[in-house]
Amino acid sequence: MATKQTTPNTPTPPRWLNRIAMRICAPHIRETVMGDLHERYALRVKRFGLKKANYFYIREVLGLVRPSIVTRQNSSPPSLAFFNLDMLANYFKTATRNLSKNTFFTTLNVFGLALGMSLNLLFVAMIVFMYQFDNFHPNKEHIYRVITHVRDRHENPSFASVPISAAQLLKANFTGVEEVVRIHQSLPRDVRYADIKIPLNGYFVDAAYLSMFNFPLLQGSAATSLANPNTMVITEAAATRIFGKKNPMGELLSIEPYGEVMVTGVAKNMPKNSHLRTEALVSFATLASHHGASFTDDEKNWNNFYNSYAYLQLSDNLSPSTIEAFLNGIAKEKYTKPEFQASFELQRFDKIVPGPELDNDMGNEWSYQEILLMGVLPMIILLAACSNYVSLAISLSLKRMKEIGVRKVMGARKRHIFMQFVMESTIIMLLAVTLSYFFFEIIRGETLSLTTELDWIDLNPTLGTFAGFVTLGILVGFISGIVPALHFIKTGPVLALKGRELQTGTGGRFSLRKLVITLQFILSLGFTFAVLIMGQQYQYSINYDFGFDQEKILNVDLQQADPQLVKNEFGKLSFVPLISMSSHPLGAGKVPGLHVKQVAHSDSIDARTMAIDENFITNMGLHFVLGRNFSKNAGENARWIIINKVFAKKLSPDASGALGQVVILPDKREVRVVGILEDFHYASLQSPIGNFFFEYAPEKFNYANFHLQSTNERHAFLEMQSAWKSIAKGEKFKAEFLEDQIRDSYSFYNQIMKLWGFMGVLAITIACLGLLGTVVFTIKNRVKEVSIRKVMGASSGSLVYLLSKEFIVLLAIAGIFAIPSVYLLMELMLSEAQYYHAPIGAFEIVISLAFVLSLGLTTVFSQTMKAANSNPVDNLRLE
Amino acid sequence: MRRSDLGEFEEVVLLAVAALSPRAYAAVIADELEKETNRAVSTGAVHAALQRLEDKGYLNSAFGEATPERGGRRKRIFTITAFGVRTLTETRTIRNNLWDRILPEVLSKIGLDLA
Repeated sequence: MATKQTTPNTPTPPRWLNRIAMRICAPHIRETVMGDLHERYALRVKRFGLKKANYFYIREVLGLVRPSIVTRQNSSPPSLAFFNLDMLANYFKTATRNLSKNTFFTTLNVFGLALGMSLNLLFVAMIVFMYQFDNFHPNKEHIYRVITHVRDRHENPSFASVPISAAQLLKANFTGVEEVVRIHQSLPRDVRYADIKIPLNGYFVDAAYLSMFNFPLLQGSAATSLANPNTMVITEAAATRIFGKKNPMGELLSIEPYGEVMVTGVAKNMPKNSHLRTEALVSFATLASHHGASFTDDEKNWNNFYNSYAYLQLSDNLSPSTIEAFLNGIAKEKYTKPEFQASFELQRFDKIVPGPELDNDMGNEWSYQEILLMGVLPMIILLAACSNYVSLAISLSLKRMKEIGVRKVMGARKRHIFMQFVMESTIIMLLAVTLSYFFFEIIRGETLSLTTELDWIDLNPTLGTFAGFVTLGILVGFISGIVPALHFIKTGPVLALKGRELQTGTGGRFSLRKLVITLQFILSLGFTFAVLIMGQQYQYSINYDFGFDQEKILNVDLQQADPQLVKNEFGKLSFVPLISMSSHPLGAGKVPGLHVKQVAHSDSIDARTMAIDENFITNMGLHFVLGRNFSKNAGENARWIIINKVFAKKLSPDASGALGQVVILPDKREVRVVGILEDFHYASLQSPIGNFFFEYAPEKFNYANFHLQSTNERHAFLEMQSAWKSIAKGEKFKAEFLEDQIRDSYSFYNQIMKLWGFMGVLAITIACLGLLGTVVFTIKNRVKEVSIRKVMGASSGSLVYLLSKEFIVLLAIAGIFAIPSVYLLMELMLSEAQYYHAPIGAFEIVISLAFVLSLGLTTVFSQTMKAANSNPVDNLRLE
Repeated sequence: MRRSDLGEFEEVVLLAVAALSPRAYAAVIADELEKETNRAVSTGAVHAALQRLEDKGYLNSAFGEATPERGGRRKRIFTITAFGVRTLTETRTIRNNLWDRILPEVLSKIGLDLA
């Protein structure tokens, strides 16, 4: 458009009118029309004066409103919209052509990205699963859970639970609250049926539970099943487990201390995607009738936040804030101390999972923080894969500078170039997601079987999961497309067309490519090193000298059998020398803790304890420092304890003074120290040896232990099984070697090794793929140089050195960075995780370095040697 | 004969282009028509007509010079094409023929005289 050159003596029409006129005119005729308007205006000013001319001008402007002047030309100039269909089609075409042209790099990219994404697909599937929690209840919009925020000036915990008194208060009719369901988690974990102890998960609920939530009953009625005391509803699966094929309706289960509870309903198995998922529902009336009215009404209950939950169903016209205000008004009365305050909040039912982190939740609840934490490692792997893509894309971009230059000259704006490259990376990512889906299918089952803790997850892909996958692909594509896109945007068209970038781009001391390679190898080394350290810790732990014999010690699970009977029957077997009893296996897992008191002091002492009989210490080969063992007299033994050296030092400054001292147990029993033992590892190596004592308590015995002195273990087990049959009431014989039990208690190392090992494999593969891509690219660019050098007489060796030098330096840098940082990190983690841990050895460092670097070097040399040994004529004859 | 798609206003504009040639552009044409008809003629209308005429092939156009009064904008100079000339001639012939066929006595009766 021409510029305005207004000389002082040419009159110009009012500017605002001009603006309007400009707007009205289609751009392609604007110049002429506006020129004509101005010319006539000038003429009219001369003829009629300014005022009249202005009047005419207005008429002229109005006269412009006619189709042939207003209508914009639709074909030119081209639309500059971001989403121009024609251009999108063009980008797609260019992208696919470009990808198929560089088959090698495309395959490399897609494969690497697919590997990197596999874990993320798992993560996405998990997130999708979690966002479908409790979406099957028809009135879910109206259900709220009351949660508690405590301000105690320390931790300020928030509870998913609520004092039972608050639930009670709402129950006592608050207008607009249609239904209140109280849930109490105090149900014991075991029930008895026909004198057999059976584990059963469940909780107490109000009768309205079955109508508020959508857990349909197969037998029984939702209205009455849980109305009376000592009635319960169990799920189909639990019913089959307990009663077999028998009809469970009307059967009695014994639940301590509530007595016999009758099954009055059978519910369909609860779906995995519910935070309320359980196996048994016992009527709340059971609690009330057993404990009496004080259980719900006692004032003291306001200070107990544990185990009690309240779910409300509100009517349409009652806002949750009304109830919050009501509850918090009450809370002000109840919590008068400024250092201990509590307030209540109504949590929307769909905000429970995933939701904020809450203490004492219903069990199957997942918070945002936990989800985020799970996502960290997959994200790191994906980041590695994406950085590969980005660095390769930028390397390859040098060859496409001309294309971009032409596009820019043809009028492509920054946003178009941006769009093009984002689209290209999105295509790659979607390809990768497709391939990754196969990896996902492979690792899905494997991951879920990794630990039993993942039982609750259902990762069968649904429509939502697939939508999640595609979203992930597009999102990642967009983000990783940004870097190459920006790279192209910043290059001017002239520079791009001249190809200047091509000459300077390959060199440079510090480039993104090098950084990416180094970081990826740091990651790979880190994982390898960490896995090796974990393996070392595992070996160290199970071979550790615990201070007692563990070889060939067999622990027989007593289950319901009478310990004395077991002792008699098993004593008859030839390969069993001495039978002892204990409440726990020694050195495996945790032993219960309690507080004891000395007679003279008011301060209580933390101690851990285990119940044993008089043979145990002999069987385990524990050594006495002072004192003696339990005797054959059970009545006497009950007043004695045997302590370890640490405890002895706690009781009296010189350990020997502890002998004969009296200790008061939590149940007010006074017991005397009769023996002091050398320290040994009664629990796992995770915690330090603390105050510990053995007590003699036959009612707590869970295991019979003895040395299995038999060369033929199979035969011995068969004999033991037949011996067991005469004692047990139909239970299966369960026995484990102590060594295995100890080994199992460190199985988390194995799980970590599996998980990290898999990530390590991913990281190494991705790093090597990235390295391969970069090496191949570099060599391609230098193929002529290498050929000329060779013709001039360079040896293959010197050429390999020339080409590999750069990469070897990068690998070395990675090693220098990775080893110390992983060392420090693991040292920190181990000292948290396990009190007695092995120092990280040089062996692990050397092995992991050798392993990762050899893989890296193999990648480099495979390509450089090929280039150095190729016939120079092949590369030069076309010049 | 082909139906002539030349509107009355268009015809006038086309004639004006021919008359003002080779310096015919919208502003002067509008001015000229204003003078001839004694009625206000808007530039927009002239422009629209010129565009239509060009689309129909009666006119050609090219950019001319810029002047200070136009704020430095270029003129679009219109020239009549051969097709335009022929169409004009045809219309004129039709008119003339009709004029010629009016009987002299009728002419004088309705007050129209060729003299």
